[in-house]
Amino acid sequence: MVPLNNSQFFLTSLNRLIESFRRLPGVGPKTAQRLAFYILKMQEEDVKEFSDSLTDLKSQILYCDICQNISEKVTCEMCIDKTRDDSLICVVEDPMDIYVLDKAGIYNGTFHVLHGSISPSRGIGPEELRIKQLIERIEKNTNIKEIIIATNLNLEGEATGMYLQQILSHTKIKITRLARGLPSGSDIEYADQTTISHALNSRVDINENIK
Amino acid sequence: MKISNKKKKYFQTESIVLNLFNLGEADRIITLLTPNYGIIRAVANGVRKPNSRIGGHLDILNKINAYVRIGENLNNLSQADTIDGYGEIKQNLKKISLCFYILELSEKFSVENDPNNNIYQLLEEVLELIKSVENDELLIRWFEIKLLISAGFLPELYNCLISGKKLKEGDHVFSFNEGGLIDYHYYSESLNHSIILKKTIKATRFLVDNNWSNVNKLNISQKTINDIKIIMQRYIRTLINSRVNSETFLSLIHNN
Ligand SMILES: [Zn+2]
Repeated sequence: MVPLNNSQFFLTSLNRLIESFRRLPGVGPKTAQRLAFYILKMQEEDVKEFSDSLTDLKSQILYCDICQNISEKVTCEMCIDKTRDDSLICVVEDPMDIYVLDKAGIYNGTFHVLHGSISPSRGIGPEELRIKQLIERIEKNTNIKEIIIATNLNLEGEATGMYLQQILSHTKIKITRLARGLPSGSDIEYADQTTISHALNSRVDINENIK
Repeated sequence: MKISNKKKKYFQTESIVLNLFNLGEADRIITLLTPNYGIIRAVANGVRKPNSRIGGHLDILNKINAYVRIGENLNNLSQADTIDGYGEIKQNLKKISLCFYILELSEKFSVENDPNNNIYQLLEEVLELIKSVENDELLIRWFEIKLLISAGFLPELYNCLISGKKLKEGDHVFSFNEGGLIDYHYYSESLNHSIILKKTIKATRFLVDNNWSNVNKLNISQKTINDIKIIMQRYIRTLINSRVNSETFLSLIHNN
């Protein structure tokens, strides 16, 4: 006989919701149940508002045609902003990294989001990242002087950085790497502002050591 | 074999980090290959934050001393120190792509909580060699064959797997389902077969029987190395019943 599982006492739709919550970061089975029961008790219009915002997130949010960050318009606010220096592109893995780097307040260039890093064993290679879009962007905009690689400081982030450096080495663009101060193994997403500022200021030219 | 020994709540082991997965807000699940416990998976709490004591030691490829607390469902990594960070490898994209491939293979041929000291030692030896190797194509072929042997899948290279008779010198057929050579006249296009040249058979036998320092002295043509590659990679795919993901990135970087 199949052992009785807690979830068998719940309705199918409730179970589905619990399962959906469980997929979120930091949510365990207990919390997932609590959240699902909370929603069950919510007013109908509030639930509607909540579920609409979830569907809209996927259907209405686009990727900016320049920097590939998530955006509500074809071109995002940052890329339209004329006060930003578009001769600088800081390449990051995830949209979250932009907020961290931007908040430090010392960088006024533009960004480019790869949406991940090279992870061969998971089947993620350069093709699966938004690298093609970066190349196209560089080809279109002759004003670009420097690319700052700000991928995470772990093997996959470094491999991504080295790959970018390799495919961009034929251009005249200066390529730098966010460096000192950021402890290896940690994600840029969690770095504090002082560390980020320091890492941005002390970025190193990596064009040289390829030869 | 299970390690759930009631008295033993902690253990300490040397290990190589095969993989890392983000979990929740700032945690990671770490996959380790160990000499005495096989593959170990453990949760490492808070390691994506810069103030983590052990985060800096947890990178794919690192050889670490791991302190693991055995849990009912999940193990927990409570401490880690780097033994070797393989800095020489991490500065070279070609070497990195090689490592992704051999780490994935080591994981695919290892079993959780089932120790296989031979695989661990082979991986350790090959990582050491990658630091300074020149002929990396040949090294990967040697690794693939030694891994197959360590995991108990040594291909039959002397006797026909259908008739049982000793094979005469010459071209033959590699049967991927059978796991080795069969006589030339059993070849069938519709079966999982591939023709293998006399030269390739000889070179493969040499790789099976020899350590790296002997293999490295050998003068094998690029063509033969490539023939061994095609046969071994297809044999590996047959054994694990899936493709090796890192193959794509490896060939992308190596063919550039
Ligand atoms: Zn944009």
